[in-house]
Amino acid sequence: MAVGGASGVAIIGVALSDRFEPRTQHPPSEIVYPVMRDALADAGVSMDEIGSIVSCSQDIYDGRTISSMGVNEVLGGYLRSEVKIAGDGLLALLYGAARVLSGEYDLTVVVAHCLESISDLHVVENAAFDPYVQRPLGPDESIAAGLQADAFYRASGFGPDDAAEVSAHASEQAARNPRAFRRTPHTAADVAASAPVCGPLRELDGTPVTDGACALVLAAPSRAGDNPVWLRGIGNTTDTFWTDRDLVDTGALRRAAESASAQSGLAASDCEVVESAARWAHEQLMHLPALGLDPHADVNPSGGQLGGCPKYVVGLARAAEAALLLREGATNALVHAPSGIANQQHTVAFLSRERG
Amino acid sequence: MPDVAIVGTGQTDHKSRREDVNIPELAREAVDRALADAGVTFADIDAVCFGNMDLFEGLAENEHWLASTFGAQGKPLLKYNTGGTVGTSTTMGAYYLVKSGFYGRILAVGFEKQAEGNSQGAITTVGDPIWERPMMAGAIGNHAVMASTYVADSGVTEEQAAKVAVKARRNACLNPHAHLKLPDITVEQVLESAMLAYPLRTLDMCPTSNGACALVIAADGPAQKLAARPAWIAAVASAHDQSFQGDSPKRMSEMRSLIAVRERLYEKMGITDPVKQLDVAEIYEPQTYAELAMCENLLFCEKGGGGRFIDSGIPEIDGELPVNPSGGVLSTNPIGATAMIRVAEAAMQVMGRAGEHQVKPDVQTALATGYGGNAWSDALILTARQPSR
Repeated sequence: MAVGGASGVAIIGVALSDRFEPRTQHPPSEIVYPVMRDALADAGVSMDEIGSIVSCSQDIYDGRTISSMGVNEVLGGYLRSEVKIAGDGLLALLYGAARVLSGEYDLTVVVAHCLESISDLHVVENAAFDPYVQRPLGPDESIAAGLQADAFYRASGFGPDDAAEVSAHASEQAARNPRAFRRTPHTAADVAASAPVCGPLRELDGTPVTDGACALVLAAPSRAGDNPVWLRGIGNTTDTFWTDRDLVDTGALRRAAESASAQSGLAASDCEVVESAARWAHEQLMHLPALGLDPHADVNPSGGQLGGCPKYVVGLARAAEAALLLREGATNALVHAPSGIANQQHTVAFLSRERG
Repeated sequence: MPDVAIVGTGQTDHKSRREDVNIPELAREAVDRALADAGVTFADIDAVCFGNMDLFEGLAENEHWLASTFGAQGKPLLKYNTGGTVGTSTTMGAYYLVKSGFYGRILAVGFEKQAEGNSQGAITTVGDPIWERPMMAGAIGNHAVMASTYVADSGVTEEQAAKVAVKARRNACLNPHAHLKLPDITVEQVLESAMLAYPLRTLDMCPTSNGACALVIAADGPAQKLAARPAWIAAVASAHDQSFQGDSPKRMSEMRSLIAVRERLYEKMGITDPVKQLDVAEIYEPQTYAELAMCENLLFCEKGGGGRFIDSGIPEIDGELPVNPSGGVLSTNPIGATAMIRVAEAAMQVMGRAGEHQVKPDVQTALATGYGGNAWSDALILTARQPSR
């Protein structure tokens, strides 16, 4: 149970990759540098003012131990306090917020990157499974997602046709967002006709393979400037490993949302903007009720993860997209991203134009 | 913002192989000991901070597989992954999450079960894949280059470095958790041990250990209830050197990242004479020459005086400033836990729970450091006195 909250952390700089797309010819540093440069420029601060950086990446995707070392120079890590979180980008946001709230740093940059395109995803995903009894059987995240989708359809009354509608709508939203990968909307019929992947899942139920990065500049109230978006609350909850739980249970997500609500005093019903990441379309139908929303609610104006956004970057990118929409006039936003096999872990955050 | 303290520590008995346990069981040993030391159960823990170099065991995202091992289900779980410093990165992560008011009691845990993987193969991938990796061969070659530059600049002798090896392995005999215990080790034995890469001999290097470490970290309020004498985290600092070795050619004789963290910590704590103002230091010395260079850059002696410092007896367990009374990294190195062990040992000294290697009954101020990545330094100062009181 959280004893405190995030009130008092401002997001003053936002940057995402120009477009989330496969960039096989680019090393991670060339993908991280533009978002670092643009986030600082957006915040109107120079690197000289930054003492604290929280990065987020995964060794196995970069093919490099301590993956933040491969981007240390562009993060400005030299003689500064840079630390790496391995997990979804919203966990780096949680840690960055803690650094600001501690009073020791008035500015902290949070940066996430991932290159999905350079790896054999079956191999790297398989490495996350229990090495003793599961990995030799050859599972990957798509197989776990297929089992979860099958269980969800059986338990909920939703089916592949509902997921196809979610995917089609996300592709329409993505086509309006220059940063998203998908530029051509597809229809529910296109989803139904796309190649089968695992169990009930079809190719267009899922997110495309992309690379990219996202950075946010966080500030204490004294450095919030005249255009801040406030991080009002952020909650995280992990569940047990995928084979130890009911795959349709959303208790961990509910708990994360309750924590973020308790800190912020906000609920999903207060939010004009909802960015809820789903790697497969059925996840959105499963997760929205746990956030207190109708499963058919019109969410993810950015196109969401289904529009194309790499793993580990996805949570931070949802927060970035929400912050940009708040700057354009919305008041409150709910941000959610799952991570882990069959969505074991969830982070939920509330952002607002009002400090609260 | 609340003060933050360590109120419980736990370690496995570190060994080169632990074929009696699997990875979750190894980590759980340290977790159970830390919870017992703090007198708490999983129900009392708000969040879990976990550190490990999963590539060393060929794993990925292992925080999810291990969540139940740490009692993390239903709670926040953050994974840190920063190389040799991961144990201090994880401790500092827990510190900030408590200091910020997010959580009141955190379980921090780190482990490495190197016998199930290929750590040196993984360490080789820390270099740039085009410019550096083809020339790398794990940690030893890297350290040999660094130690050579330090020898050239400081004039430290092989005999002086060997004394560090002797001190570490004899101190380890007083530590029930230590891996490499050599009660009869002599300087001559160190000098006769096999050359790995000049100037580093087998007994100059840390071992490859399997083990785990855990801490219970609590905010002002719960902390005093859970420990009669909490180890307060009075100051923390972290800094990197340049990533490319060619950009810091004298990496060990000019430890730029360690100097940066030293300056921040000593300024905050008002430390001008560390030998007098610190009661004990647990520093992350991957090899003997590194300990001497680190002692210089922590101002335990004058620049270039590392050799004379070990000759003086000051860093011995009964000296004026004991350095690594636990036996240090030279005696125990389960990488994902190693830096956290430095913190745990410093905390045990402040809490008066270090047993046979307790340097004196009333340790007021202890220093712990982490070292890793591309010459990345972390440091913490723990005190018996509550920082804001």
